[in-house]
Amino acid sequence: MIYLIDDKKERQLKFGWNNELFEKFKNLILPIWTYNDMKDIGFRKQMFSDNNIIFIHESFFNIEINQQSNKDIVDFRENLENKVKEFQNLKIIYFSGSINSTIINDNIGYISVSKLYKNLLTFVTNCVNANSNLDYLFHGKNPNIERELGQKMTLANNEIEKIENLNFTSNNLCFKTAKSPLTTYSFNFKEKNLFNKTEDEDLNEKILEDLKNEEFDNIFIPLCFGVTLSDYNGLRFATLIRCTKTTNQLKPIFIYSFVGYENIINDEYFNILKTKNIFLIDYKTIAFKEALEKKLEELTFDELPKEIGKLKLEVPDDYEDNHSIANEYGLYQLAYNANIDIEEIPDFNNEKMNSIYFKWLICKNGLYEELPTEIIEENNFFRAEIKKPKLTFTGKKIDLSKFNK
Amino acid sequence: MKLLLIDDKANNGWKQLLEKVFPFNDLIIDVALNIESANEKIQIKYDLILLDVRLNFNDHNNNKIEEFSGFKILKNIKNDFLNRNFNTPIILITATNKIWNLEAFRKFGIDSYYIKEHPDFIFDRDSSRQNFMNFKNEFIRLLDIGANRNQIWGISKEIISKINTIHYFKDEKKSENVKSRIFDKLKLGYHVLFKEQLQIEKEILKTNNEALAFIIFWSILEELVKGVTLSNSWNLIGEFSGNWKFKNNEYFIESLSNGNVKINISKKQNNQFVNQGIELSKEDKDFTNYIRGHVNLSEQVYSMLAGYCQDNSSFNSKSLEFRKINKFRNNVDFIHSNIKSIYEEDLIRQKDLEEHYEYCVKVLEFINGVLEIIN
Repeated sequence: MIYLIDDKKERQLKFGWNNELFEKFKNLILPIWTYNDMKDIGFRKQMFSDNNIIFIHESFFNIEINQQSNKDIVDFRENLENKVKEFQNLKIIYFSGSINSTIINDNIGYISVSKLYKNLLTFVTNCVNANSNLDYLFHGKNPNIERELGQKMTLANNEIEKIENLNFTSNNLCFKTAKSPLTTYSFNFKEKNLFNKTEDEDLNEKILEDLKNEEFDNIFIPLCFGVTLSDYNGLRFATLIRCTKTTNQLKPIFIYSFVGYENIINDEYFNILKTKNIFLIDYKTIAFKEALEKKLEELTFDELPKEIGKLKLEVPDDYEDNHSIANEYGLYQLAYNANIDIEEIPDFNNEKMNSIYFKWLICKNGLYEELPTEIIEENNFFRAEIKKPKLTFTGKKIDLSKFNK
Repeated sequence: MKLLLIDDKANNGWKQLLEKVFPFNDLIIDVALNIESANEKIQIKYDLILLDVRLNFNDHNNNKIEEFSGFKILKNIKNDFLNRNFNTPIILITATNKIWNLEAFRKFGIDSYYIKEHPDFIFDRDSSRQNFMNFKNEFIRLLDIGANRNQIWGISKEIISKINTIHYFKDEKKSENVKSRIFDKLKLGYHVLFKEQLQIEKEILKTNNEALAFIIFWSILEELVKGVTLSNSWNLIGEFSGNWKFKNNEYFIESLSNGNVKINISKKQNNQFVNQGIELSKEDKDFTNYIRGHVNLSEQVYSMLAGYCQDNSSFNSKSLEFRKINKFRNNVDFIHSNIKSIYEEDLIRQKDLEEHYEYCVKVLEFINGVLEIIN
């Protein structure tokens, strides 16, 4: 049995999971919308049995805790993963708007909200045929995609050709997975390895570590890396590079791939390929050579908001994420207009600064730019005037014009 | 300076950011994260309130304005003139882009708003800066207005408090009615004084809130005098009985057995106000007026002072105070315009607005002072 624990019916409806659909598959999937729906000990015992699959929205228990402050809920959440150890074939899959990568370790997995709901029908339909392979959930109608990609990658690595006498004076950086031998053959690239950690904060850390200081002429990144190749993390990585203030923010990016556009056209970050100076190239030495020979017009900061605006990222649809992102964005915008460094606000949720959605928003709206000098001066003047000792109220109207420069 | 920030995300950076945006030396920002906390906090007086519209999970799933937490809190603040923060300026801070929501809040008494920019509807750069500039300017403007409102409201509250304790306003139904009218005039005058003036009102319709408010506050003296006069001075159809007696048994107008009438009037002699009784007979030109009770308000007030002041010194100082106000009232263009004004000056003169406001304060303080004496 599949237990779908998610408090937001609207989210389910958005992906077509209405009452009729739940009714149709009632022998396979049971939605749980509130804690009270699973309070009964007997029911819970039934839920935590072998061969069941539990999908839980990560913020479900936060909401319940906020509303009810129930110790039982706290204990339940903490004991959740212990249950998985107890039952070897019980699987728990967390989903959330802030999860970008698809991962399964033993019996615990993580998947984004959109992927879960987009693939849920395919998964449940296959369960009808007694095929509860989670690959249908993670990869949709082609559950073998990971194996296929793995095979393509191996083949591509084996077919890397060597070209002699390639002399490029440009300073280039190539990110590669440990499995790729590409660049050492023909090019004198600087190389950095990408590992399996692919959440936004991990990639941000990578960007700051490798791209902040040393300036490169071109950056090469793999399309497929991380635990799940079909996440096509290269697109998101390229987006993050464009949205992160580093010396290399505007540099040309070449995403090398052993699959074509048909694989990635539905990816949320596909449109990064429509932006200036970001290209998809084949995973072949000749493609790298041609990339380095391109005569490219530089991307400028003036152009960046418009370019990055070609992507349309969805607001994360978790309640907490949506509300808190809106809050953080409103705060950031006010701080920006007031010429106050957001780092001077300790209570500001700096974690949001790492989220790709938030970074995209800031970049799209040009909030990384310095304010014009006259506005900075005006803000400083205003604050200086305010700090002066307060006049004793005399009953006369205060001259407000003195607060404007 | 105390500010109340009502926002479920107040402790997620808003409080700290506001402290930096408005770094007043003495600024203290209290926070309320939910409706229960807000209703507790509004029992304390603040100089300014920043109010969010949605404060909890249910608010975000709600489309009815009257169900929003922010709206409920606003109604709690504004449901009684005597509420501690009734006069406190309120800035709505909201991510809404729905103009009808803002209008609904305006109708119930917010003074301004700041739009929290939201990923779903983002301003262009210039609009965003303008939004911020407006917020800054409104913040300062409303602190200024708030100080004035607090002054007027404070005196009004004292007046109401005193009237509620003086037994003269409780002794009969007519007195209760007088009391009620005084309260209503205080609220009306407050409203007129602080009503936001539209550009068209300033430039085309030539409204002068301060002068109109003064007239309303001034007219409270009518009720005040009648409130401390025995109501049987007039019969059921409003005809004067011939005797104007205050509730402390002091006479203003007394019909004598010889057919004459004795009046206690106040006169200024050698820079002092003195009260003296004068007997008028039918031959005197003012006899008819007094026997019919046709007396102008200023004379009624002087007589009331004479009737209630305990000593000459107090009577003199209150009379001098009233004389100044009365003189101003005689020159306020909305009542009696003086010749120079009529022939040479505009109806609305910017320089007069401050003076009109000052006299609003003066007349209220005068009324408050009289109630102190009566009490």
